[in-house]
This record gives sequence, structure tokens and C-alpha cells, in this order.
Amino acid sequence: MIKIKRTIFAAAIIIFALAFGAAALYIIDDTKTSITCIINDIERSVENKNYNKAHELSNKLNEYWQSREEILVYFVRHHELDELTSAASRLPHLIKHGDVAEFTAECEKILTLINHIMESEMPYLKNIL
Amino acid sequence: MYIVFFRTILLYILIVFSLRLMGKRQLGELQPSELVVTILISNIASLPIEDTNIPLTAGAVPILVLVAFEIIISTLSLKSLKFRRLITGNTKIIIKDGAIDQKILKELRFSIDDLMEELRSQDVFDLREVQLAIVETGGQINIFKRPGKQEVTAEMLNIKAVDSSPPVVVISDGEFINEGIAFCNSSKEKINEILKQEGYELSKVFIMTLDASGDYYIVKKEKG
Repeated sequence: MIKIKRTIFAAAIIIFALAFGAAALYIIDDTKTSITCIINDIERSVENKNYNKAHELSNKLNEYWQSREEILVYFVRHHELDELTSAASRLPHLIKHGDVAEFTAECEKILTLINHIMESEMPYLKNIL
Repeated sequence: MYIVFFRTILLYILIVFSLRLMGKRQLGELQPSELVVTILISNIASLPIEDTNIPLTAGAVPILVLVAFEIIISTLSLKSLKFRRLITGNTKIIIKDGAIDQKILKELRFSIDDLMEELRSQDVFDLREVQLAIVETGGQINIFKRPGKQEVTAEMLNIKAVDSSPPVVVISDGEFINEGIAFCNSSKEKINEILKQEGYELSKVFIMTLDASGDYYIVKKEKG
């Protein structure tokens, strides 16, 4: 009886672990989609030389990332998140001081980092092996 | 530093919980799969403690999954003999009728020194005393001595032995131990009566043992 109970508990742990993994992937994917969307808007604003809007959007991105980072720290390696935090916090200041080239480069860096986080968390064979 | 401190406490609790979940067998005798789980758990637990960049869940989830997997494997082993053989392997007879099976010894990569050491640890210094020696799946060797070398029992001497149960602890540090009381078919009332008869107070008793025949032994608490 105890053995059966333990087995049920063990099965529950496995289900919990799988659900936790799925939830983590969902949150990362959602974060990636939102960030990609904001960065695309920022890049469009920069192309249209609408730097005020780009500044506004980069602040929005920064705030969004900070709220998401609080959740992501539970399952993503912290140094990957720290790198993205550092890049996101630079954006408003770069555009404010007119450093468009550096600003665009940081936007691309953020996209690469969030894509990398997503890619490295996916249960692909290349990641497992 | 506080992060490391709290993480260590959390992982300690998690590992104690995990080992309790795996059951008592885990602590006493390690089967190959249990040894793997134990080694992995100790390694995984140390990672998030040492490196604060690693989320705690990256240590906790694998530990829980390993324990859950171990429980499932042991349940399957219990239900299927084939599966059990696959996971834990077979017992091997290395001495049969006093003759060492050198082929099996070689197969198990047991040297004659290992064998002799194990026999000596079981008070066997002469190979000829052994009729049967079996290597268990956990690696330990159990022996069966030749009839002439076995310890004399009451049965061999045709002496009628009285059935008796071993004494168990019924009071520990001034508190009743319910499992012990139930084991020797006694009750708190009966034990209180014994204490009264002997002039002891429950709170002053350090240890009291009792067996099914009613034989007891009481140790009083030391002052101070």
C-alpha cells in the first residue's frame, strides 16, 4: 500500500516536473514574442527617425524586461538574464544621447540573447546531447 | 552569502525528504540503480549551492525527478522478475560444496584477496569451512558453513528453547513509545502500574525496556 502511494507520489512528481518545464517554456516563449514585438517597433521608429517614440518604447521594453526577469530567474541561468538586463538598461540612454548605431546594435543583441535563451531551453536533441 | 545559506538549508531539507521518500532500503543496502541515484543527488545538490548563477529549481527538479524515477523503477522491479534481473542483476554462487568457482570469480572481477577478506569479516579463516558462498546483487557475500562448522544451536542439542520476544523500549526520556508498547502487547496503564510498584515517576525514567513476557528493565534519569 505504502509502495503504491509512493509510486503515485513519484508519478505526481514526474508530472509536476513536466508541467514545470512546459510552463517555463511557455513563459520564455511569451517573453521572447513580446520583446521581439517591442524591438521591431523600436527599429521601425528609428528607421522613421522618430527617436522620441524609440526612447518611449525602449523604456517600455526595460520595464517589461524587469517584470519578466523576476519570473525567469526561477529557471534560467542568471548570467544570461544579467546580460539581457544590462543591454536593456542601456537602450533609453543611448537613444536619448543620439547614439543610433550603438542603440540598434544593442537592440539586435537583445533579440539574439532572448532567442538564445529560448533555443537553449527547448528540448531539442542537440540541447539534450 | 545569505543566498548560499538559505539554498543549503532548502536543499538539505529536500535531500532528507527525498531519501525518506526512497525508503529505508536506500540507506542500508545500495543496489546499482540506487547507488547511481545517490551519487547523482549529491552532485546535483552541490551545484546550485556553489554557483548562485544556477537557479535553485535547476537543482531541485532533477533531484525530485531522480527520486521519482527510482521509486517507479523499484515498483516495476517488484512487479516484474525480468525487469528486476535487468536492473539489479543476479546473485552469483562463488563457492559451491566448498569449491571456488574461479570462472564466476573472474567474471565478477573479485580477487582471491577480496574473497578472503570478506570471509574473514564473517569469522571464516579456512575456505574448507564454507559450503556455499553467494555474492548478492548489492555486492556483499553471504556464506553458509559446512554442517560440522556451524554454530551449535539448542535444536542440535535437543534442548527445548522457550519462545521469547526481544525487549523493546517503551519509555524513552520520560515519554511513552507507543510502537514499543504495542509490540509487547502492553498498555500505558500496565506500565504506569509497574512504575508505581517500583517507585518511579514517568518523567524521571531515562529508559524502560519491556518484553512480551512482562520482564522489564528501568534506568533512572541522572540529575543535572
